[in-house]
Amino acid sequence: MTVRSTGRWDGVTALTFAAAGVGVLTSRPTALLLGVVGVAFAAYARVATPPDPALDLERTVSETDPDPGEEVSVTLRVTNEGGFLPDLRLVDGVPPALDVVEGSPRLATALRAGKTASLSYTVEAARGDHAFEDVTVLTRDPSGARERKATRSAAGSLRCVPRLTDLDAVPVRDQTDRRIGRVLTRQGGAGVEFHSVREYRPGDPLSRVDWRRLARTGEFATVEFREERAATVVLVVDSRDAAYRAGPDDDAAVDYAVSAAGGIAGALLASGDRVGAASFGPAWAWLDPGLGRDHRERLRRLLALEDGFAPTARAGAFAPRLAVRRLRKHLPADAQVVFCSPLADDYAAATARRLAVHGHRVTVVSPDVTDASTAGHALAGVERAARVRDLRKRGLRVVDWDVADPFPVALADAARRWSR
Amino acid sequence: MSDFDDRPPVVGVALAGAVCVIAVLAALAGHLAGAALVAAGVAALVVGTAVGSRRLAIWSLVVASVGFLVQAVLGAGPIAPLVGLGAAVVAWDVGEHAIGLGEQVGRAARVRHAVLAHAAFGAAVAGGVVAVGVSLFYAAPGGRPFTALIFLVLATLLLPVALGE
Repeated sequence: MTVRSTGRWDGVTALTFAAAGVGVLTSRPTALLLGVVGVAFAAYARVATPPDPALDLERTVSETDPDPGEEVSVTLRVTNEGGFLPDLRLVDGVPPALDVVEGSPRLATALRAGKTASLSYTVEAARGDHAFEDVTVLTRDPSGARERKATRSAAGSLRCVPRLTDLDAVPVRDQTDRRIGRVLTRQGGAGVEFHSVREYRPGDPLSRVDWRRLARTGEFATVEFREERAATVVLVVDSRDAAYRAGPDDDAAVDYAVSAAGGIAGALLASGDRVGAASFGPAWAWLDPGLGRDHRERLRRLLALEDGFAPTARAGAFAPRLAVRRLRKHLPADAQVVFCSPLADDYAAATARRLAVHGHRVTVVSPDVTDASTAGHALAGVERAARVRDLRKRGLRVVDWDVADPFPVALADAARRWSR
Repeated sequence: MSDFDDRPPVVGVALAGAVCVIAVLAALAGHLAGAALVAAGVAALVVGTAVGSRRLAIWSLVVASVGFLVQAVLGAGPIAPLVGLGAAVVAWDVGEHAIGLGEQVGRAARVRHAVLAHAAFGAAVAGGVVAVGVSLFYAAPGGRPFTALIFLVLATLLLPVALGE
């Protein structure tokens, strides 16, 4: 709590003495009387002290679990439990990541003892955990000469966990584990798509005997189909400082990457692949690949709430070599990697290459947040395009996503290109 | 956090303007010579309040006060300049208060109660001074006794100022 002097009446006091002086010099009592006006206000400014407010604050949030972009209405009610407050100002502690879209989180009023005032405003929900901060309370004496500043706390929070939107189908690369799934492998065995024919061995299933050959030549042969296996995919989101700074308003690039990761995760889980997630940046986050409804929930909350996927950059040291080593230690040997990064610097591309070299098939999903608005941006765009070309040349798949298009469109375009 | 419109609230500017009208009327009832200065000062005060310039507001009050002093020196009766200066100071008080409100809570916030309450307090002080001045004038119209009474009131009021609090 601090008390400060606003100094607003200083000039008027000076005026007083000038008027009184003129009155004395010119022997005009009227001028002297004008001096009384100034002195009266000067005395008014000295008489009272700013009261120490005794307030009861209550904050209500209309929706504590909104969808991203949903408008949430917040109301703060303040009840005066002490004496009369002639000049009371309140500034609500809106969580820094949320924007106020309607109304004002501030109020100025005069509050009699026992009365209640309220302020109301609307915020737009954004992904993550948001806690309301303390309310700033300012009180002044009636003349406004002194001001007392204090903070009071009022409970309130908002948690926004976006749903994993299902994309239609996400093509995965042909790196699989041992489980049955939907990736056509080069191995022959049980499956749907034709692979090869081999000599019949006792014990082969009768459904796989090549009956046409038997009818033609009298020989028994067994058809091999391409085995279908499931994939293990780990979504790695680039959350280094460089990735955040790539965006037009400083944060958008990582938000796009996380939303793409969420969509891919939803589709892969639906098709029976195991999905995990990791954050490659100062705030480490990791979820082992898994399956099932519980795992889907865990993944959804991880992407929404963990620091590693936060909409605003997290401070902290980032040791590149340690980070790569830690990521490689956690990655299962047969895991594919979907690396979600704006490719804002060479290190991002180098990380993707390093993971590929160590035996993980890598697909890079890269939101393109560069535009040609300034020379610097245009240069960044050209450099990024060069990185994309380089990665493709080295055999990595890259989804080059122009954020003006919806992600499913970009993914479908890329899938078409890969299937050619 | 979204952008913040820190201009003074409209209620404050409008109220300051309304009180300024009283000051101008009082000036016109006095001597024409000072009335021009008062009008100029008061107009500048409204402008200063609207744009949020404390400096313009206080200098406007100075100009208006000089106008009333000129009227007093030129022999205008004590009531009109007294009421006029009281109104000018209240107008400045409301205006500067509105500027401060704009900086702290912004134009979008609800401030009506605060502005009206603050204006009422200031008007009460000005009204008190006018009442004292009028009663002094009728108690001892003109001359030494009048002057002596004024000094007495001045001294009484100066006590809290000198002693701090």
